[in-house]
Amino acid sequence: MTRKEYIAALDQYLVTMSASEKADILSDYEEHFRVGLENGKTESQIAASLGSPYDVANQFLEGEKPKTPTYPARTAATASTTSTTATGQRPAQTASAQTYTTRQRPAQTATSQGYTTQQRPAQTAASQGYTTQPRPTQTAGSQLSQTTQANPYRTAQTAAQSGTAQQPQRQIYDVGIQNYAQAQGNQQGYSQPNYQSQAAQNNGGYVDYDRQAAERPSYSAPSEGKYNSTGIILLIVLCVVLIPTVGSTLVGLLAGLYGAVVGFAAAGGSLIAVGAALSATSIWTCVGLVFIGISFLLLTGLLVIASIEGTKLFVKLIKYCIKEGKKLVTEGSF
Amino acid sequence: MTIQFKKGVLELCVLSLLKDGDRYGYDVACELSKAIGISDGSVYPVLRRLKDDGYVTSYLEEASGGPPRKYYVITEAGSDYMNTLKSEWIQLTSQINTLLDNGGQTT
Repeated sequence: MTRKEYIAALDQYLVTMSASEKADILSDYEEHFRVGLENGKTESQIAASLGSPYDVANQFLEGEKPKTPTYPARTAATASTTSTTATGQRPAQTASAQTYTTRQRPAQTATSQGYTTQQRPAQTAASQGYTTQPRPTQTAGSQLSQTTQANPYRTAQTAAQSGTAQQPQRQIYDVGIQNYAQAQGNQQGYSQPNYQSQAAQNNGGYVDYDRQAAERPSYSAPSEGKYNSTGIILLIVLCVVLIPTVGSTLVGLLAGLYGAVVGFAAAGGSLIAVGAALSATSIWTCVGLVFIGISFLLLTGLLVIASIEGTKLFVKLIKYCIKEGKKLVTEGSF
Repeated sequence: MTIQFKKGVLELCVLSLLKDGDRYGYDVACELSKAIGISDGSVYPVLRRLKDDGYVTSYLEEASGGPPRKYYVITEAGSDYMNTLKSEWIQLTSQINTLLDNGGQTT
């Protein structure tokens, strides 16, 4: 394989990478060829020692976590010159994902007895799953990662719970498979919450990607400055018809009521009371009438307070209407 | 061994090489393939990952009479990470050695 062929193949396999990332990666390999040639090697020698472009690309894509939805299948790739359309490969991909899942099932229901023997296949399957992980479609991918994640832990847990006899194997397994957790054989390390959060994280990654991918071509966020036409029409109707009618009626009613009540009560009540008191013959009648007058005054005071509160409430209502109106204009609904 | 594990080991190897001085990619690849027999091409994904994680940075330096080469430098975080990986590695190998010594025997 020449330098040109190698770079072209790598370029082709790194489809899911952004242009800048890809350029950066390819420049590294260009440089590698350059230095190799300076050191007296041939292009084909350098290409051979680099390893297959497919494997190399795969290693880059693994590093990108689940950012790789579709991926040219290897068979097509090695044979390929140009055509990498995904249609031909799709069935193969889902098929592999399916066989994978069914292979996993027995391990999942396996009892602790079968732990040692059954764990091993599951484990190799898991690592295989990682290498081929980019290839299945998105949904298959997330499913895959979940089963992959779930099985070792779950089986390990059943094994751990069922008795101490399994302990040694479990510990080896832990040490081997987990490089991030301190391999102290500490059961807590692999307890359910840990597994869950990790699975969730992984899954979250996929879902997120899914959503992004789905949204990218068509999605346009409603921007602040845009107005909704139905909302505006509704608001105009409200402003022109409803608010003046209801508002003026309310204001008129309130004003009339307050005026009448305050005027009558204050003036009438007090005058009647005082006048009656002055012309009263009996002192007790006088006291009684004054009391009635004071009562009227108090009642008037209460009504004044009530009217002030009522006005406040009315202002609040207006403010609320304005707020909702704005919302109506921008979003088209309350 | 899982992919995770293999990644960790490769990262440890690359960081250890960079610890003693800046190197360009070809250099790292040659040393690493000489030492542990991996293909040269596998080095760049590791370097990239390390760079993404902030364990390594790079700069371009003019080579004599040619286009510049990209040199990789280990960062402080990279040194810490290397030490962690190293102690994990030592712990793991000692545990495995213990297993290999005693594992086959029925006691």
